[in-house]
Amino acid sequence: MKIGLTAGADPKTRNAALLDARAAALAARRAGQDETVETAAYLVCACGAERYGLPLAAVAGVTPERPCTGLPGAPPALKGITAVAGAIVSVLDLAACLGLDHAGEDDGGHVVHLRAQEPPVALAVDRVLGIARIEAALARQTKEPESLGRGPLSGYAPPGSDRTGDIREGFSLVDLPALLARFTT
Amino acid sequence: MSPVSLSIGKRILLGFVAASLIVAALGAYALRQIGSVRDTTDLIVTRDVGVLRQLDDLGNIARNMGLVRRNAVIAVLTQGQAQSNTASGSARQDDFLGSWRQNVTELERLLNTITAEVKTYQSSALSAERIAAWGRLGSVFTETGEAFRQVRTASEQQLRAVDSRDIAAVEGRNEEVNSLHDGLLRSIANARTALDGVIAAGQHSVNEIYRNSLLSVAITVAASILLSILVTTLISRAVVRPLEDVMRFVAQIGEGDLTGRLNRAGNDEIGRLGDTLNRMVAGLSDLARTNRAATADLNAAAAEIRASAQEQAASVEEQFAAVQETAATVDEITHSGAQISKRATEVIATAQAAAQTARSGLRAATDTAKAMESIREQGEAVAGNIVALSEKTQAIGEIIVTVNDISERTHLLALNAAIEAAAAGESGRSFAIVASEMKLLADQAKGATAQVRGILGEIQRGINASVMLTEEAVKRAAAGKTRTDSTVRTIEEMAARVEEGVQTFQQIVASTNQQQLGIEQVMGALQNIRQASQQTAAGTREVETASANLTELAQGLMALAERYRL
Repeated sequence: MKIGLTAGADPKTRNAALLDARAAALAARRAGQDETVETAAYLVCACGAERYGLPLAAVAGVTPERPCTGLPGAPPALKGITAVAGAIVSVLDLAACLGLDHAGEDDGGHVVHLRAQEPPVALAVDRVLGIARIEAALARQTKEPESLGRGPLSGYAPPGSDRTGDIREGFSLVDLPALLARFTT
Repeated sequence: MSPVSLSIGKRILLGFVAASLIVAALGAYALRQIGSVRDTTDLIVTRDVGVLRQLDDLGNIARNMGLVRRNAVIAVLTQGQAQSNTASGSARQDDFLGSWRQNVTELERLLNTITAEVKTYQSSALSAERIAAWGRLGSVFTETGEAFRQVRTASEQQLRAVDSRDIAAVEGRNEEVNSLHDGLLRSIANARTALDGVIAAGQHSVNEIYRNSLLSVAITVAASILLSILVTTLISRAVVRPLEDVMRFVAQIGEGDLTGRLNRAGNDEIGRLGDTLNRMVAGLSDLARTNRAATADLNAAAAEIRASAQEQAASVEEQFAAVQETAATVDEITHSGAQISKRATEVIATAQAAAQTARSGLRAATDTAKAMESIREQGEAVAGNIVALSEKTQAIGEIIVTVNDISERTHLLALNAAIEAAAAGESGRSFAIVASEMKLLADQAKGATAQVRGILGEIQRGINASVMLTEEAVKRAAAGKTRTDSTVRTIEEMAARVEEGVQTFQQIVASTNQQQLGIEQVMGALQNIRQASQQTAAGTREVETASANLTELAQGLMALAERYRL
């Protein structure tokens, strides 16, 4: 953003502007408050206009989307299977799993690989935005097992709840076991 | 009545010949009477005058004889007184006697002659009065002869006494001789008186003859007058009565009655005149019929002529008005022509200025065309430069794609590193910070590339727009050059047109001047036309009047033609 503003200036001024922006970003971090507040890390992904947060502990890695082989008779949310590091992984479309109309672009998407799933599952999203750390109380807010109508979403992080400041908009928290339960059973 | 076969001319000739014969006879008779009067007068005058002259001679000789004797006596007496008698005196006495004898002889001869003549005249006298007169004259002459003989005897004796110088005897006898001589002279005077009686008798005789002639001539004239009256009556009866018939017929014709015919036969002039008159009446009837028809036609034609004349008068009035208007119009045309000439002169000046302006405009347009050409060349160069710049920008875009790919990979790598750090738990916390920084750098690089890409897109769009604009500019420059060329041609044409216009306006000025001259002539002609129109109007009025008169005349002619009974 700053670079765009200083695009037409001379290199000396541009370097000064870059350095000023970096300094401001570093000064905005509240490093001292990390110890006092327990945080939970979520991997924030974009599906169309929506933002969803995946628990970082359940994520194994992120790769660019590659072509996958479709399966006959599969539900519409299952895009197909692909081979990752010698193992066959089922690729689920997160937007389709959450009941959204899949209007995102197919090219340039990201695939989030999940840990400790049998069979191995990967979630196809439009883009992985980054990692957000929110307060743990905010993450546990709606995690009562006895609540009626338990869906695949476990909560909502309002805008500005990211302590790192990396993610500015708000995002929904995805309950992966509840999400995957419909496909594994 | 004369015979019918004798023509009137012959009758008149006959009458004329008869009258002429009467006049000729009258003239011849009168001439003969005049001749007889003249002869008688000549005879009387010749005889009387001859006798008168001889009587005068006789008197003269008698007086001479007395004179000679008296001279002789005087001479003797004078000689006796002077007593100087000479031979010359005797010779003179001889002379007295000789001359006296000579006179005596002459006197005797004359006396005898007169006596013989008187006797002759007495025998051949014309009237008894003359015979008596001549007889009285003869007796007087006899007395005269007697007295002469006495005088001769006495005188001879006295003269013998003179010869003998007997003065006493001379003086003694002188008294006797003188008385005798006076007797002789008286006798001669008596003879003259008797001759006067003869002359008076002659005059009376001549008067008698004249009266006889007058009477006879008067009788002859009266007879010829009677004869002429007879001839005239005859001619009148032969000529005038038929002529009166013809005249009555002609008067009938003159009154307009053409129905009658003259019934008269014969070969004479009246008969031929009758035939001719009949033919003439027939011809007059035809003529009257034709005349009546022609008069009707004439009446209609005169009415038409009058109507036409009135129409023509109206049209002439219109024509006159039109000529007046035309004259006014031509006058306006003259004024406008002068204005045209003036304006055309101004226009010529303006057009010459326009031609000057067009030449400068031509130079400016040519310069503009050259400038347009250079603009087009420079625009093409700019387009080439911009295309090269666009290729460079394309290369930059490819580089940017590469950088974006790299930043994306770095983003994913940082995420995976953060995931691994989170999986490592507390020991991976510092690694998580590094991964976070890596991710921040990758995101900044990605944003920068996005900005660069946007800027490049704008640059590309700007380049494309510039290319298009440059091409448009080149096209417009070309179009401008074309238009400038056409402008040059237009200006050249315009200059040519302006030159033509100048020439045209000069011709217009010349034509206008000629037109002015022509218009002046037209004005003159219009003046003539106006005068001619006025004359025509006057003539038309006269024609109208004449046609009115003609109409009246035709109606009068029709009335006249009605007079003829056909």
